[in-house]
Amino acid sequence: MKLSYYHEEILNFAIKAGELMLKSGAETYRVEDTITRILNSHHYHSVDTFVIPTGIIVTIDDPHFSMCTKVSRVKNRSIRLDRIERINQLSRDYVLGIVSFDEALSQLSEIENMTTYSPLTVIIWLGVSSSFFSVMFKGNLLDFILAFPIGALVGTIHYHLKKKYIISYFVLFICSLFIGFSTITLYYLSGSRITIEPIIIGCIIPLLPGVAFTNAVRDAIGDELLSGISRGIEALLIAICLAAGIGISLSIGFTIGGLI
Amino acid sequence: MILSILSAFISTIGFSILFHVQKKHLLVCGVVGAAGWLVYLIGENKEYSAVLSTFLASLLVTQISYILAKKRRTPITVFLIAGIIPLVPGLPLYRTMYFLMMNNYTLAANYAILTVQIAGSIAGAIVIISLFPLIWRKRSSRN
Repeated sequence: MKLSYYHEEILNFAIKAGELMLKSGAETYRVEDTITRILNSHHYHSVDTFVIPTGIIVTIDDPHFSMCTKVSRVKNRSIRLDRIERINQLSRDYVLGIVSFDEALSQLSEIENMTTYSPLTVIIWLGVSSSFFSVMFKGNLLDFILAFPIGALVGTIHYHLKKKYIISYFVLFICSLFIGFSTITLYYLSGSRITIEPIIIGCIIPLLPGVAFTNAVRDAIGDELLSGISRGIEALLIAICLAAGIGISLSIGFTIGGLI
Repeated sequence: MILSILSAFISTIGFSILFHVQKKHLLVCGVVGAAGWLVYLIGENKEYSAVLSTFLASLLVTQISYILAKKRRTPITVFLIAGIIPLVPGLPLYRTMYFLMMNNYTLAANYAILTVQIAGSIAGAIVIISLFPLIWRKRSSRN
């Protein structure tokens, strides 16, 4: 029987799984669902979970022990869809009894330390995707070639600033400032042979809040009013930061270059 | 047009790598992104408005993502985010900023509204595809 395990350890495991999911950018309702399923598989008398995008509160109660509550504050979020998928699978297996508690615990720490792609791969692919996005928005060959180094450099800046735990809005602002300045510089250096619009859009689309936006909609559907609203605001803030960065850099560039 | 769809395919894969999607899903993510962009381009060719084209494309993308998520036992977000990303209103957002700088407030307001409309139509498409099947569901599966 699973009941032989000490309930506090099980609560810790459930919270750790939820925390890791929330950190990796999962929807709130999915985190709540996972924690509730893991704990319900032990048939406690009552399980209550409350998850917001920055924290988790779980209470379990049973006649066999005194009420047990844990609060967990979640910081430093980054998007890791591979982790979400693995934890989803792990919780499913655990509830079905395919993996034991100890195995699940070791798998969880393995998931926490996993890296699917090295930072260099991510940076290079960010450059590639920037160049191909610029083709999608009617860029010419020169735009395609130049979007690659800008995208890759943005990836590098993003990676290094993220390591210093700077708030993500400011990191994105710096990135978009860089995109704007480098594009305008290349525009003057190349003697206006490149088009500004496709390069900037190509580089900025990977930074746009697609994930925050999708999660906001899916949380709103899942009847999570609080998370839906706060993620929606997050998406809006990111968009404003990016727009501000581009606006500032381009207006300085145009003024110096005498285009305005 | 073929070039455009091909680049949607590759850039969606690149974007998925940015968010650490597992390797086995990468090609599928690329196909979802390209399919969404294909619908958008067809809409643009028939001179539908950008809002309508985006709406149709996101309807398709959401439906495909639901089917794929069931089939491959994956969180739906993996495919949904990949499919949505070519459709997000980057172009109108940039033009809003551009025309604000150029002191052309009429066009800036136009594009700002277009940005909000496109974002809203994507959200609406996700909501419609997610919630309509619930009407025909026989009984609530949640307690």
